[in-house]
Amino acid sequence: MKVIVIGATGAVGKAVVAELAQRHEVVTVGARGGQHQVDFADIESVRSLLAKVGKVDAVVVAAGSLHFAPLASFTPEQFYVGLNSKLMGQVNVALVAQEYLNDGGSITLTSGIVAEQPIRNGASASMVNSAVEGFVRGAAIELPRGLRINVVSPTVLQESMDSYGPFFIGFEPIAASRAALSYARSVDGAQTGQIYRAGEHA
Amino acid sequence: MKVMVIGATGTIGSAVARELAQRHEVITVGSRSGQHQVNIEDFAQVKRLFAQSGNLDAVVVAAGALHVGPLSQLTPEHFHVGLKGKLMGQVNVAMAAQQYLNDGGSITLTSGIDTDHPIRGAVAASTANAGVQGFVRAAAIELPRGLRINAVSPTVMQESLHLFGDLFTGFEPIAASRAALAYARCVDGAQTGQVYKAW
Repeated sequence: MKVIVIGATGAVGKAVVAELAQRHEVVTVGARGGQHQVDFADIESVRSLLAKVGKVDAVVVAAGSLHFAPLASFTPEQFYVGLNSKLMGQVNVALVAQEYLNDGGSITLTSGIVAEQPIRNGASASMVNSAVEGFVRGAAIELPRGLRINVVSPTVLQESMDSYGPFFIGFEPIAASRAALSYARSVDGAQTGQIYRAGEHA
Repeated sequence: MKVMVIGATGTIGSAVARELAQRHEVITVGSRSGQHQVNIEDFAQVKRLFAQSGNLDAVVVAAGALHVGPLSQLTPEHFHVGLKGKLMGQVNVAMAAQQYLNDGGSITLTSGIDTDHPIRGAVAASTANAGVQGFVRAAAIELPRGLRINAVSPTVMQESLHLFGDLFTGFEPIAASRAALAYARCVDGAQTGQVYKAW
């Protein structure tokens, strides 16, 4: 299969590339690194990316900015950081990918454990990650040609504990390589409309 | 209790206002009618509304624009209708309400059954409604002074079948007066961070 991984240079994305490259041709995309660059908050940038890469069998996104701050000080503009990036960036990729995916191809997006398990300072993160999951549930029933869409909701990664550890006290971190298995299930599997919770006791 | 109902002239909002008015002083707010008018998409207007109304015990929102249309035709702008309207409109109210709510007061927002049970043409709605529920779960753990926040996720109303019935074939409609009970549980109850499924 030919698979595009957007966010391929991040902690999750790198592990997803390593996992998928064992079986598939992987095209790596980053904001600044990778084989191709994209600003996925801009749908035109996503369109030109896919026009360059051409037909694919799977698209994975593990990217998106979020603003973290105490609820009391959040402004509408700060909520829009995540809405424009992690939510609409991923929605843009899914919208454009529809016409470049071969029959039965898949789209795999990323939410996060805080969609279900809120943390302090995470009002925007919970909102945005929940919205990504809502999008995936809704899109799954309308995609044509056997196209599939799923979302992986990872917990905090061992590799990210230096930066995010203080936000996730009491959460059991997992290795990025374990989170990557959920992406592999979405890409190599046959389900659609699923939320794969990577690191939670399902 | 003094309760503000935003969207008070809509199908659900008018039923909520009737339900709550049996026990509480209700201030009705609409986009064009009601005792006060507000465009919830404009944060400055929402802040002005609360400055005028003064301290409250509960705020209910049953309002917010959504785009309905097939996935294959959706553009980012279609998604932004719901993000700006139903999602950030309600978030604007929650953010502005915090400082005007009395201790233990509550905020009740509205999502929708398509969050959990997707229907054709509603992907942009499912996105915005899921965002509302995520916001409520997270805001609940950070609100001070015993303030509470919940969401009601209603199915299609009997009163709205002539408008939305075709989208909801196979869904059992309920009377708006029944959906209003879920809002009453939020306002008069003691839970927080909940999504009450009115279906």
